[in-house]
Amino acid sequence: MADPEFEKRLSRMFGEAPAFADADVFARGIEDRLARSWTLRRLMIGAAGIGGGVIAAAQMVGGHFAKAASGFSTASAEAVQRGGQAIGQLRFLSDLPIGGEVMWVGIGLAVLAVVLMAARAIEEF
Amino acid sequence: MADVADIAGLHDVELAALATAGQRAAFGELVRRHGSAVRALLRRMGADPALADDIAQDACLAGFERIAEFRGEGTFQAWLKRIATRLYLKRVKRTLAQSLVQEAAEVGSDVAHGFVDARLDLDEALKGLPEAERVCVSLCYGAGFSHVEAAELLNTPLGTVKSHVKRGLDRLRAKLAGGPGETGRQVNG
Repeated sequence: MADPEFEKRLSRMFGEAPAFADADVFARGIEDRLARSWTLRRLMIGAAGIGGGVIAAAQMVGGHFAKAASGFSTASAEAVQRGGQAIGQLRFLSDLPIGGEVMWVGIGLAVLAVVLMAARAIEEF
Repeated sequence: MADVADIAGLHDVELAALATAGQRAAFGELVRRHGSAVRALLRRMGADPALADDIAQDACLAGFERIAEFRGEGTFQAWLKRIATRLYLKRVKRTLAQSLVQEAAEVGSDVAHGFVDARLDLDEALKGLPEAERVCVSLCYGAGFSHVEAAELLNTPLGTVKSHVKRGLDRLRAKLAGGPGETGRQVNG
């Protein structure tokens, strides 16, 4: 015969867990194991990255990378030259009410901002 | 990153969110709060202290891996208990399957044969139950599984589980008849 009162009481008794004297030690053990596994994981990811990089480098060298790169560099040199010519045609830069020094300071600040962003990203990850 | 003092004051759901973001200290706090309940449940199910701690540890590590699945719909403790009971049942699958079948075949109940002692607490009372009854009662009243879920977990017919639960309850009622027993006491790990 069902006895709802007793069943409630039983659930309550199951819910009242005894306090273990070593509860804190147990929790610290879990934290340590998590930290160890995280370190191991990072090492494995790092090792996999280095391995992958070495393989990729070997493939690039073995796959006539130099030849392809020279093709790339020729193409990129042409692109830069075209870009330079286009910028040269932009007369508004010289029309801006700023001197060359100010422009260089601006460029320097932009580079600094990029470096700071990169440093922050490295710190985060 | 929340420091230790901040973490201690957070709700389980907030701690779980921090743990999902990779904060191990937040998960450590959850283990500090609920680890004992999980260990106690495993012992109540029949695991010896060393095995119970071993499985509780595995359950906690599995819990951290799957923490993103905890959405705060139930309590964190219940969620962790479910993981732990599944792990325990995997470990004792073979022996438990035998006792489920054997004990189900036994006819009658020896409730009257059990001793009645008002001072007996739940742990002691559970120790006096046959394994199948102890596990079925613990699954349904300790880990919060329904009879159907317990039957699926144990790969046993629903009727068998219900029968073990009923007989287990009868025995426990007789053993605990005298009073609520001693709960909330401290146990040596």
